[in-house]
Amino acid sequence: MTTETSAADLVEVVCAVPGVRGIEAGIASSLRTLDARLRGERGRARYGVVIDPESRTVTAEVGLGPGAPVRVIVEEIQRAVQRAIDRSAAGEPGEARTWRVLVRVQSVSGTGRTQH
Amino acid sequence: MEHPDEHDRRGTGEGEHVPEPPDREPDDEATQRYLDLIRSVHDEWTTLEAEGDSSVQLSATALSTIKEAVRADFRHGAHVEMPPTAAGPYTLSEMALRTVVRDAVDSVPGVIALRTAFDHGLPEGGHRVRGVPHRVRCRISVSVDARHLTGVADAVRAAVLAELREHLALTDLRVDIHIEDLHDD
Amino acid sequence: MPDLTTTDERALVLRAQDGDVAAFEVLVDLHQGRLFRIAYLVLHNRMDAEDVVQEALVSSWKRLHLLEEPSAFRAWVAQIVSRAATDVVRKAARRSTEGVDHKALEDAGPEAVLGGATGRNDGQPEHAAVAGAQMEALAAILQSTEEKQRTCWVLREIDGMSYREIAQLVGASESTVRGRIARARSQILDRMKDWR
Repeated sequence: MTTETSAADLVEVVCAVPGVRGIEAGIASSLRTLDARLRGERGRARYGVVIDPESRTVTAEVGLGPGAPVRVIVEEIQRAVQRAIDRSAAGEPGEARTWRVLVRVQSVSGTGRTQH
Repeated sequence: MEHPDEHDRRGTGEGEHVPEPPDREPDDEATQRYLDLIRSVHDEWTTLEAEGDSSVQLSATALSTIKEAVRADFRHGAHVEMPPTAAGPYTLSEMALRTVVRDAVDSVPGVIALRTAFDHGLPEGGHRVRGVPHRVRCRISVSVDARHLTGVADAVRAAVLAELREHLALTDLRVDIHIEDLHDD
Repeated sequence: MPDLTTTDERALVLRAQDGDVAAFEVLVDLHQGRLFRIAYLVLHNRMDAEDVVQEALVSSWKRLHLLEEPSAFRAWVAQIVSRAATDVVRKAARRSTEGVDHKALEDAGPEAVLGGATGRNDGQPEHAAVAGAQMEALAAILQSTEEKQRTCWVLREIDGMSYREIAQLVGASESTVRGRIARARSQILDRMKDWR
């Protein structure tokens, strides 16, 4: 992960995944966004996505829409984020280790089953 | 009012040596101004805070941001650990988890979901995180026209198990159905 | 629903640990002022002080389950604030020894050069609402003290903590804390003499 991939970039990546209704900021990112602002590391957190270089974890807080099963959408989010990280780290030495992508699903709006 | 540390400055003869300034006379005056400044700071904030003046405390915006963050966190509830996907770990808020189950219950003809509760295994840890659920309790209302209540309960159980397996890869769950109400379809 | 504003603090913490948001909000109301004053006197910067206190209080909600002794909430939350404030001061010091941070200056605007821990002080001298006048004067004087001494001094003289509490909070011995406070006091006295 380099400074090229910022949390704002990842927000876009996450929102582009089918089945993601949007970012839904929760306590994890409220906290880290404040923290990042204090430390002058503005790229590290946007409401909803937090990049933590120390633990090599990206946390995304999302709301999901109806349709595909939750775990399928979550896995696609994780892969999309990992691809974005890989793209930005291409050619960088020592970036081989993968990052952990933790998804926190805050809400789901209907799971697509027909109602009676 | 004696400053709490005055007795220290006169020397109690114990503890670490606190260096005395070389000149006593002018320092007594400076010391007095020092004590006055501290006292006036205390007095100022006591008065201003009582008046709701934000110059000595958090602004109203900052205060409401804190409370909103905490309330939003509370509304979502704790997060529940799920079996990880092939690409990483994830959690669901308790609210989202209840939605998944509720949709499954509602999908059975003649059934309305009421409240749902879970029993959890041990969490890996973190802020308000619950472990993977191993038991679900569904309180439901059933149509008055339902013929075989056991059959209805079984159908709900099957729907919930299928939904949890398909959406969350949760297996090895016990599902209890409590019919606590009847309704007109 | 009980009137929580008269509930004793230990009970409020226990309820908050149980998930009672209303109880936690009372705790926020009870502590935000004192925590702000601690942060402001260490940082001499309103925006930073507000951010530090917001983070500390939201963090305390998140970590409330880790607080074993509910009656220790007061000191515990002050510890979170003081550590965060210390971090800000040290990061700012590192940035300034590493040379001018052009991006930070760009972000901060023309007031950046006027001082404050991160150069984000938005107060013009006559701006009344940044901080109370006496508190502002004291915060300015305190900038001449070294950060460790300043923190101990503020916790003692402003927050009224005991030497033992401060020692536990900052992770030093009581005699070290006494020494720091004495040195801070003598530096403040010197500074006040210069103003004569």
